[in-house]
Formats: sequence, structure tokens, C-alpha cells
Amino acid sequence: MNIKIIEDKEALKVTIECIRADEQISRLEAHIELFDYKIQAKRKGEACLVKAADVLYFEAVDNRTFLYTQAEVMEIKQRLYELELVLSHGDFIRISKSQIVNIQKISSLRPEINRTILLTMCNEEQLFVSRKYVKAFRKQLSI
Amino acid sequence: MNKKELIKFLIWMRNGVAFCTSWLLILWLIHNSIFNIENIATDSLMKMVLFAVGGVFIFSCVFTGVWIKKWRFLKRLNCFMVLFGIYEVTVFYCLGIGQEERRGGLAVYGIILISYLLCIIIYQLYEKKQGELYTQALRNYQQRNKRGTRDERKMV
Repeated sequence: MNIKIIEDKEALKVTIECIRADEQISRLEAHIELFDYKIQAKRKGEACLVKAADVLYFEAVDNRTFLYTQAEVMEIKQRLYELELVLSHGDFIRISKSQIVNIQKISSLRPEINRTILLTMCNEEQLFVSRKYVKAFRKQLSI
Repeated sequence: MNKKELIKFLIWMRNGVAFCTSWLLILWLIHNSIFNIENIATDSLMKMVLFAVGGVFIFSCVFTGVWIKKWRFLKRLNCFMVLFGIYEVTVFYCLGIGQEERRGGLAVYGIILISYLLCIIIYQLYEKKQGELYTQALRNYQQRNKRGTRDERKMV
């Protein structure tokens, strides 16, 4: 892959030149789009921007959506399905009806007796992949 | 029928019958030594061998892919436990064990309990191994995608 950096006065622009726009190219495109993707969140009533890569997981509780980082919990405006549409091309995957997790922030996995998968996050928090989403989860990790 | 699975099934049958018959005979000899029984009847030996063959047959059918192809480990284990429990009770009933003596009933429950504990141990080991495999797959995914992100950063 040849990478060229051209300095220009215009705004940041990334052009992908390829023979054929296949699956690999669309993955690359999705990664570039998510590279600097920031989510608007509320921290103690104040609006702030959080990098998607810093998020451990998203959770919907009582018609409200929260994002969890290493040490904080913040509320966001988007619904879970909206986040899923944007983030599922990157490292995020839905693990239950109410949760979307960042795969890069998982530290270990363990299959359970009831056919769910126990995820241990990098902050030692534990989440479950529900049975409905286990197949997609395993496919994503090529298990 | 898959030829490879059939060969696996036959090998498991051979090894399983040899293993179970030897152990049942050893246990029987220990039992007879403890209770000072000097003789072993031929028909009892035949029944013991048939019991072992039946048990191993159920095990091999459930755990190889000859008839059941797509089941996961836990489903196979549960199926084996149920079938083996029914088979064991039927065989013991046909042999007359547990009808007159109290010891026979205890043997049935004892075998079921030991099998159950054995299954728990097997499943714990299986779960641990699967956990390691899953975590390794996760590490591979993370490595793969981190490399991708670095390339993109260089590009930007």
C-alpha cells in the first residue's frame, strides 16, 4: 500500500485510490471515518466530546443511553441503534439488547454453561454476550 | 456417513470397551476380596461386559460425529447423561440389582452421582480451555485491528 501525504491549505482530505472497492477497502474507509469520531456526552450537566476509542461500552437504561469510559459514566443523546449503525463498522459490537461493547477494551473471554459469553473489560467490569448475539460475536472474532 | 468419523467411532468403541471392562473387573475383584467371595460366575461376567459395551456405545454415538454432527459439547454431555442414566437403570433392573438388596440401589445412585461429578469436572476443564481459545482469538483480533489503525494514522 502506497501512502502519500500532501500538505495543502484546504481541510483534511483522505482519498483512497484502488483497483476495486472491495470489502477490505470499505473496512479501511470505516476505520478512517471512525478514527477521530467523537461523541457528544453530558458530564455533570456539562457537554463534552468523548473519543469513540476511549469508550468501553454503551448501555441503554430506561430510555436513556449512557457511555462508560475507564472511570466515568456519561449520558448521551443518541439511541443504541443509531450508535450501532455508525460504530458497527469499527471495533464496536452489540452484545445484548441494551449494550454495545468496544472489542479493543475487552481483556478476556469465557464461555458460560448457559451458552452466553462472559466478557471481562480492561477495568475488571464484567459483561455478558447474550445468546442472541453470541453467533455474531464469534463471527466477528473468527472463533 | 463420514468414513473418518466411522473409523473414530470404531476406535473409541475398541478402546472404551477395553478400558471399561478392565476397570469393572478390577473393581469387582476388589469387591469380592473385601466380602470374601471366592467365585465369579461366567454369566455375571458376560452381563458385565454387555453393560460396558452398551455404555461405551452410547458414549461413542453421542461424542463422535457419526450420527450427531452439529451438536455442541454441552448438548452432547447432557444427552449422554440422560441416555446413560436410563440405560444403567434398565440394565440394573434386568440384572436384578436393586430389587432385593439395598446395596444395588446404592450402586445405581452412586454411579449416577459419580458420573455427574465427573461431568462437572470435565466441563470445568473444557470451559477453561475454551476460555483460553476465545481470549487468544480476541488478542489476534485486537492485534490485527491495532495494526490497521496505525496504518491509518500514518496515512492521515
